[in-house]
Amino acid sequence: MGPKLPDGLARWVLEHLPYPFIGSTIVPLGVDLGECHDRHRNQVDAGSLLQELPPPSDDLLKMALVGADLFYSVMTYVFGLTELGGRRGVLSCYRLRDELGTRPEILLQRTLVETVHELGHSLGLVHCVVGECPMHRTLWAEGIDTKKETYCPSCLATLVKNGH
Amino acid sequence: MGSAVRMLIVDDERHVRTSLAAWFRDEGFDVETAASGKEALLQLGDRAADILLVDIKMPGMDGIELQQRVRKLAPDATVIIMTAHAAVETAIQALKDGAYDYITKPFDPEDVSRLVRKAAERYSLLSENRTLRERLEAAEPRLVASKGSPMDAVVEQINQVAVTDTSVLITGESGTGKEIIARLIHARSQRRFGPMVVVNCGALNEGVLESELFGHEKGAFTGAAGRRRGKIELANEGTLFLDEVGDIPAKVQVDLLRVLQEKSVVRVGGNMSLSVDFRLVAATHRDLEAEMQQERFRQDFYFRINVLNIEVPALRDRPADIPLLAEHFLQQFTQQMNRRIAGFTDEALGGLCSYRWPGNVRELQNAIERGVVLCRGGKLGVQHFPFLSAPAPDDQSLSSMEAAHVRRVLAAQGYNISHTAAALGIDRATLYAKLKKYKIERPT
Repeated sequence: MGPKLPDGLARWVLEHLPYPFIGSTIVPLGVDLGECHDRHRNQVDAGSLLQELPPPSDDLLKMALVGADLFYSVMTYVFGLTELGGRRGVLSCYRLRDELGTRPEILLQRTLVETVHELGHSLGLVHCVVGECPMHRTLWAEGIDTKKETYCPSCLATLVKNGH
Repeated sequence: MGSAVRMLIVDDERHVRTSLAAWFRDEGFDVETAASGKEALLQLGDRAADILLVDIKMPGMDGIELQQRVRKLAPDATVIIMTAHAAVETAIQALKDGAYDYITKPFDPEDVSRLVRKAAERYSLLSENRTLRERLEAAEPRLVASKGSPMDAVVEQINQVAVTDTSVLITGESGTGKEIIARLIHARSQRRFGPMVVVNCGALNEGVLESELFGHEKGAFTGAAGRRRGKIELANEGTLFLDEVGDIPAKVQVDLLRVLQEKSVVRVGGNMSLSVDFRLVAATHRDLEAEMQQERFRQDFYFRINVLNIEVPALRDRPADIPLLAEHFLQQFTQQMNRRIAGFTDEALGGLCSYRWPGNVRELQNAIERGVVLCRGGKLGVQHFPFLSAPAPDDQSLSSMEAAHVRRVLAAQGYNISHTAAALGIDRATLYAKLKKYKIERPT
């Protein structure tokens, strides 16, 4: 099933989440990752995990943060997967580590930015052209380092317009 | 970049279609999906796709067959084959059949994004290239002629010589449209995307013409403050059009002959030989064979430039083209001057058709332009073409006739000295002498 989530990562991310996610809480995953694990790939199927994830109650959002490597359909890997406006998503920190292992704080910041990215999708935000916006698409981990955890004015305006 | 690019994803596996569609929509592409080759072809009938991502292994029509059919239906579409590792050899076959590239499942997101972006860039370049070609074709000069006109033979010759790379000599009286013929040859040749460089050899003296053709190095002569590339260099990969080639001085003929033989040029005052690759088209209103006999034109140079000869008929030898040309120029000038003129009176058109047009098409063009300027609505009548109603002079002496003729051609050419001299078949200095002699002045 791959590596576990590093201790304290979820808590650190939670404490640094920006508006409009301040006040979020941590709940147990509620899914057996083994059910979504592909033995041949030794990866977790992000699509299956997303389907298995119990839907959040009321107007809440749910983001599953896992340590295992994710794949989706014909893609060899994905950082995360969220249904657009679907209020639930999954994110892996597996590929977000600092490649040299010399700066552990990088994993924290990258996970925070990508959490905000997937949460943005769950609120209906699409990818953004602004390089510093967390909704900007990056295909490699180093690219995340150029992004901030707060939305750009355009994405914020979209959230406000959509009533969030 | 991807916003205008239309993509069609063809795969029998639903999760592949939906995941790729979501992925590329996020990248800004306009994405549609099809579950089979048949469905893809049906969709392509309704809506063109610029990039197709095609799974190689599908029930019914496989990716290879679909790719072959797409090639016929949409030759510009870029097809990327999706394949499993085991089917790589089949994918290579698809490449030989014209597929742009292939990618093996499962895809690295970076790889598939990079590949599709490359394909989108190729699509943009192809579109730009197509647009430029269309603009070039639209810019091709128009040759106006009636059915069965002697110009039909000229057009046939143009089409025959355009595809070759040999030198062409265009002969014909002044104003018959020799430059248009040269431009058509260039526009229909393999060199059409290269430059067409025009040199009017009759308008330049020997020194200036040398510098104009061959260029010069800094300090080559007094006043050569910097290096200058010659027209021959500028015509590289294109067409060099030497107008009034019969007026080229003997020394320059020798230098040009060497350029044509050696396919290289040396700038005036320089010593470095520069390779040049151009097609030569020359034109003259002179009888070069007669000029050769009088040793005013070099025989070797004549044979070099006269590989193929196109003789452009005089306007008086194709009277059926005159109404069409007159109408063409009328439309051109009424549009340019924003005038409303309802055509020609029968009398005027009859006069235009029976006039001998010593200045040929250029004279007709100038006459129509002048008529459009003078006309205050309605139709162009004989009063707008003074040369049609010019009374025969009482004095029947040769000098009086000559003065009247110079006046008439001068008026028809809009008092343009160069054009009038060309129409009369004399040089500008001779024309000035005649104007002085007959006390002819431009009306104010």
